Amino acid sequence: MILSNVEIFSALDEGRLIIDPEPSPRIPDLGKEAECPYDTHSVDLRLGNELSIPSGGTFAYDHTQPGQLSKLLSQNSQPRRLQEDQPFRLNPNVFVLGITLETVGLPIIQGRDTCLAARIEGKSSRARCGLLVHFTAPTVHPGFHSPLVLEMINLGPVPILLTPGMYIAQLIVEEVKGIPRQLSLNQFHGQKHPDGT
Amino acid sequence: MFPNERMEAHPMEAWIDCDVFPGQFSGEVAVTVRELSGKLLSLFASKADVDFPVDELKSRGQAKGHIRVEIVEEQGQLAMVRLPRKMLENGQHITVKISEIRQEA
Repeated sequence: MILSNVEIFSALDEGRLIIDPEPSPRIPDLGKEAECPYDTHSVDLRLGNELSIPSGGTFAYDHTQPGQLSKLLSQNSQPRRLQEDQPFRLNPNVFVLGITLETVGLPIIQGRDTCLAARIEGKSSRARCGLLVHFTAPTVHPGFHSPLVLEMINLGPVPILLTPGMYIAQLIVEEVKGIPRQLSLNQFHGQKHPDGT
Repeated sequence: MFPNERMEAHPMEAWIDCDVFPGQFSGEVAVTVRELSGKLLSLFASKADVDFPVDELKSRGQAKGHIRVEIVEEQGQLAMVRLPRKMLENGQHITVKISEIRQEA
């Protein structure tokens, strides 16, 4: 079940949902309605002040070779710090990683019947210009606590300026029925096949 | 029946050895950990969850460190621990020897 804005407020107040810094205002100010980050069942998140720009090269990522992926990704990308007066110009068909200004937390609280998951989604105003802010990886799992990494690509015909603090994505929060089971040693120990046998 | 139904699981914070490399963002580091089978696995972790010599990472581009984990279950000499983030290879849990777990970073 997707949470309405009223349920999002309750979840924030009860600590079941953490968004830090908390988006505000909850109620639109008269004449400044567009500045309210809450919609009927979503909350907008802003772009942080860092990008990670893949370097490219003659190598290929081999996901069947475990152990070095995070190191390789870091080694083959360049950090870029954004400033409000110096936005990043995302040219057509260029892929970069961004990160939300807000940290999102979905704590699993023992003793409750439910917990929360979430999905990050684009905003239609950005999408109409050709900007994807995530692809294939929208899910925020229960227990997660971190800023959200955005996989951004400009599929439009003209450059898009990325400015820190701009509303870049929206978070949809969902209720997970039940508390996820912790895994157990017995489930994996001696595992030889993809089905766990 | 799942094994956890037979025993109470009390997640307990602890630390295991890891290798640390620069991350893609300033608040994170790239980490590799070794599981029981010897296989290396990797993840990006918040700097708050990893203890490492900052100067060494800056100067050498890598360092030995410790990553915070939760002990989910112990069986004999083995323990299943939960890493602070999902691994790039998939999953968030690995099995390690209990002797490799530290109570402090």
